[in-house]
Amino acid sequence: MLLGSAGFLIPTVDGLVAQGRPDAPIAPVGIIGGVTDAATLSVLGLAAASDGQGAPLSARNDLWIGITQPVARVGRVRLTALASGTAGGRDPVGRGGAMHGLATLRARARFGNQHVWSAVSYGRGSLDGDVGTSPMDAMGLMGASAAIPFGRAGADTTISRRVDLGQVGRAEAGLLTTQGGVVLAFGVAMERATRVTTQTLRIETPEAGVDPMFDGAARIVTNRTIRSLQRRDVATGLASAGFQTGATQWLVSVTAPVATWISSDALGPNPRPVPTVASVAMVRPITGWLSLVGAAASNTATMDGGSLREAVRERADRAFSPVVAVGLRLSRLPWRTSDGTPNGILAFETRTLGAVDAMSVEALSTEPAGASGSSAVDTLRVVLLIDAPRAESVELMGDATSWSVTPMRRTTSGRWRAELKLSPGMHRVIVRADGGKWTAPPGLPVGNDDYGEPVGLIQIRGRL
Amino acid sequence: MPVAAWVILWQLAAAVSQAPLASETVETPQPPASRVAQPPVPFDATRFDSLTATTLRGLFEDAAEMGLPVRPLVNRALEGSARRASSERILRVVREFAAALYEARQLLGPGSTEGELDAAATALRAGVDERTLGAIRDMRPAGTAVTALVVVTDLVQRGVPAPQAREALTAVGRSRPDDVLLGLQATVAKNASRGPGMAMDALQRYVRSNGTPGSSAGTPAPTPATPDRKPARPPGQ
Repeated sequence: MLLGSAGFLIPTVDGLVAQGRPDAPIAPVGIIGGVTDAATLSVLGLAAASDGQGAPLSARNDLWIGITQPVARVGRVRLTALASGTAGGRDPVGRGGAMHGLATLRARARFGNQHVWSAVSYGRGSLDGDVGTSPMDAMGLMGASAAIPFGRAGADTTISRRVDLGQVGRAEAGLLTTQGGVVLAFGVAMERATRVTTQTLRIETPEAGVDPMFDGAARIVTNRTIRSLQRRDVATGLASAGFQTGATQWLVSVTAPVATWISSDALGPNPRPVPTVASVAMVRPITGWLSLVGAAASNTATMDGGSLREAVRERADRAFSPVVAVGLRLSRLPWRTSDGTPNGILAFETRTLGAVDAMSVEALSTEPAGASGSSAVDTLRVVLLIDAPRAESVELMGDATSWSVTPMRRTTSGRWRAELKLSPGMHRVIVRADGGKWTAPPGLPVGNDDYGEPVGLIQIRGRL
Repeated sequence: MPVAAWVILWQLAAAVSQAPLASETVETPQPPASRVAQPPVPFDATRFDSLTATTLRGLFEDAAEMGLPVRPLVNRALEGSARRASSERILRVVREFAAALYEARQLLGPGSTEGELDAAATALRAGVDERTLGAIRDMRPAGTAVTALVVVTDLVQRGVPAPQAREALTAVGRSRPDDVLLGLQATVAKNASRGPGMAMDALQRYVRSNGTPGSSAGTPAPTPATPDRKPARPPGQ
């Protein structure tokens, strides 16, 4: 199994992110937010390079923390709770920071080789836009209600502070399947984000009878607070393909809004619909990705019933601007150290390894070797059973399979089963769960395999 | 068509069908003084580059001429390919394991089976000494030592020194069925994961409870030597 390439959509938890914050998602689908049924704690640092055009979409350095915790299993369905939080240092709105949090309950089920998932999420986000004193920045953020006319007899207005509080609710569903070693994922999501923007305006009005051009010391300063509610609904589709070349894992993904409906107001006069993101990511052994961020699907967006075609046209020159980012993720599983799951994973793994808890060997019957050509030696039909309840795939290889990877089959009892024909003697076997590290099956005698790894030893006693 | 033509066609077809393709079989001549069966062993040469495959075939043929089993060597080569080991390492492992097989046959005697030689060579590679193999041969006649060899390999792998493993095996395994040995292995394996010294502790307890013939009528210990508790701390500590 390469990696769970589905699960979260891009975690745009910051509510109405597209309108005020042009921080388009730059990570590939599935990179952030693990598709795992194991307990994980991940810390992720995001640093994106500039696109060279001064576009603010890449001006972000975030710290991301994610937790996954399995909570229940009902029949085929596994319920997992996920929580993530993001803290951003610099935000295009101003010099302030941004914090976002998202809680998700995800259900996954497996039907043969097909996986389906569904998730509901709720999150909150805040932008603390300490705008500062740049009048140009302030003007860029001002809406009509704040555009108090300038003039000798008028007022001089700046935005002294802007705070956005947003919340997002999302429902998503998808399908994940493996075809020819390629993990394909398709999904859709429906998301509603709202944001309340609070702007504090600093209005400076010249004192009556005093010309501010010549006597700026005498002014009356007032503060005015404006609140505005904005809402955005977006339907998003995703598609991804994960595959492996040698020891390197890759993920190609596309996230595109199918349709966007924006209810905006004067505080957000320049809406930014959710962009389309196409990404190529190298997941292991070193993680990095290249994302192309554009507005290809933006024409489907509407604002207050009107098309946003004209509104986004001016940004066409920045459509599909490349964003290169390198990330580092450290996953630690401090409360699960004895199940074979690595304590630390230095990679963008969205899955952790399942655990092989126990293995048992059952002899079924003896039969003549036949095909082996040796009539003096019987072969024994042997069933290998592995307890790996959290695993989604278990494979084995060994002497009996000519050291070819052989998938095991999940039984109705949840155990993993493989049937082998073994001749009397010693046979070596190793197993792995979810494409993880090969290991000697627990419960079997252990030997050294001359390549530095332990192997399980099965001894078959037959007549001579 | 005359009969001679049919015979020629038959021979041609047989020759073509026996021509080595991608998946070959290594011809292993029967050793004159060995009981080890030497059927053709499948060898998938396509997993290796041509030079490595040729070298491996030469090693297999040399081993067969010496009366050593070829299948364990083929398995080591295939395993190295599966583990994506370098060609140099695969060849080194196969050579070293062939030497271990030769040494194992010297220690266990020419009547040893392929399974015994494989298990004995694995034990030698794991650190089991020659004296232990000799003791196992004395304890188990030809063809019945695989379990004992696997058990002693496991004990050594889990940190039991080879002399102690030998003493335990001879104490509990002489004139006793293999199940007693497997009980020893299971007990040590279960306790070895609990911390340093626990493997030896379990070994000694198991030997004390099963060491004298007749103490358990040749059956495995009904309960683990060390139940689910930590060993009692000596007084004063």
